[in-house]
Amino acid sequence: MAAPATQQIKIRCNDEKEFTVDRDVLERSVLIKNMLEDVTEQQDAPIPLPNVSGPVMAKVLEYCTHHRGEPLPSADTEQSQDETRKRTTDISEWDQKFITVDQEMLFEIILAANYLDIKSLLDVGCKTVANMIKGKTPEEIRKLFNIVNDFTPEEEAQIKKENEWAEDR
Amino acid sequence: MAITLTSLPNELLLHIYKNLDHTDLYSQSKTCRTLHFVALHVLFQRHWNGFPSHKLELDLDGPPSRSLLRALQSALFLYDDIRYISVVFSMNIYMLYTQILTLTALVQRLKSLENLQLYLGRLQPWYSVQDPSKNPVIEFEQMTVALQGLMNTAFAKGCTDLIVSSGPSLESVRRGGIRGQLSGGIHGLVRQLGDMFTKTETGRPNLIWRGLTSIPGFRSKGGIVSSCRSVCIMADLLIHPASLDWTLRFLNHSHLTTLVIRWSGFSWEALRDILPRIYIPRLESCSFSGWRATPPDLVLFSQAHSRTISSISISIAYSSSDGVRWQPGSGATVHLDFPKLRCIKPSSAYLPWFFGAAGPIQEEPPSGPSPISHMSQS
Repeated sequence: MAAPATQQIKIRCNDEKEFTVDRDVLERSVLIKNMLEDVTEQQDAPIPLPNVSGPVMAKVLEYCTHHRGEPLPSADTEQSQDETRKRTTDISEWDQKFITVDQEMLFEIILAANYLDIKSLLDVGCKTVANMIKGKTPEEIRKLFNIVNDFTPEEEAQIKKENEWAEDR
Repeated sequence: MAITLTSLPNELLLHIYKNLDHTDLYSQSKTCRTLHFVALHVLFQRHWNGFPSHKLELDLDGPPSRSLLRALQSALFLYDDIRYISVVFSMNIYMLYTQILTLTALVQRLKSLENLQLYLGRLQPWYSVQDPSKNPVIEFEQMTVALQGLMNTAFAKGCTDLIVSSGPSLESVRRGGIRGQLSGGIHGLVRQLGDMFTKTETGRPNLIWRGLTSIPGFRSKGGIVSSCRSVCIMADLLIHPASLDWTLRFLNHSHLTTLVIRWSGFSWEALRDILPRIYIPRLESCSFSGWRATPPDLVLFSQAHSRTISSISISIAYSSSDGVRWQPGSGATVHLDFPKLRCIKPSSAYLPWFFGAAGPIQEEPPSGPSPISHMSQS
């Protein structure tokens, strides 16, 4: 790649942590890519990213560095939703290892990917959560994600009843 | 501030749920409130064709139909500007009942509604699919009340076009889901009726005539049927005598000008009792078609309206369920005088009953038992 590709960009997270990253790595994030395109002259001030913390950004950058140079998914690959649903488990080995983090970090990564607009990372995160959910009973899901059951007894009975009815299809 | 699944923004939950199938989504919907709504929303969107528009088309037939209308209800706070609703209901009676109730709640939330189409398409006579040991028994009356509630709610929201259909929906025909018992008789008859009706009601091009009870031109005030101009009653399998009685009661002394009734052998008994009690002062056009009836019953009704009727159409299929075929020529011939009559479309066998012409022409009965009679016996 030509020289401009190795341009270094500074970013600052909400905990004042700063990173200096190659431009093509950062451009995995559509948000930052657009920002950089909007700004023509060279700027020394770091790009503030108020919604991302240092540790999370480090993780995100790890992902971006690994996947640098890959073509960005086009914006309109949404139409085959049915297909995406079927092949949920197809997370690549590296991604799988990468995303093996505690639950809070996982959600943080998803939030950051969403904010930074990194579609492939968002997909990996969401698929991982989906895989955690799959095949579990509501009770197991509550336990796994620490969800408080806030249905009233009446609502609970209603839902249960509906389910009984639905058995016979 | 720890981030949990429930504290994720909804858009991200939606993104996660995209990867889940129905079973898992239902599990999700049962965990807690937040997830309940979002999961159902996803389920619902998968069955919602035709967004974005003011039109909502839902196919709730076939698996997995449970909870979908709940989903709809939950999601509707976003889309309260819907004005057209078309729903193909589940053929499972218990689901159907819930779905009707939920749809009622949904309609209640809308700002206004113009058009409501309900397809009770593939419904079997429910007494035969009922399993009391497993499911609560839903009586005809309950279902009738539920449907009434839905209709009333729709009218209250200003609905002017209501189409309730127990014939197969076009979609299910296309899918080939209604082979056999329902396809032939009802469908042909219904189409025929629709044609006739469209011709007499040229001013209403966009109505769909199919199935059970099609009542266009409803107004929100002044009773149900009393203020509309034309009514089409499809009294086939679904109609319970009580419900027929309810519908027809409103017809009496209404401002109707057009009446279309079709019935099955199953509902004829009730209809026969009710019809003579009805008088519609301005009736101009009427059409009858169905099974098992004998002409004198209809003649009485027609006679009562002979002064105003300008168009009449009669088509009776043969009854084969009770082994008794109506013999033309048995019973009294009634001569009717229709001063305004311009158009008549009876089946040939009926002409003499009205006009005392020469002996009726024998028509070939359909081969095999008629679909309706066959089903009503089971």
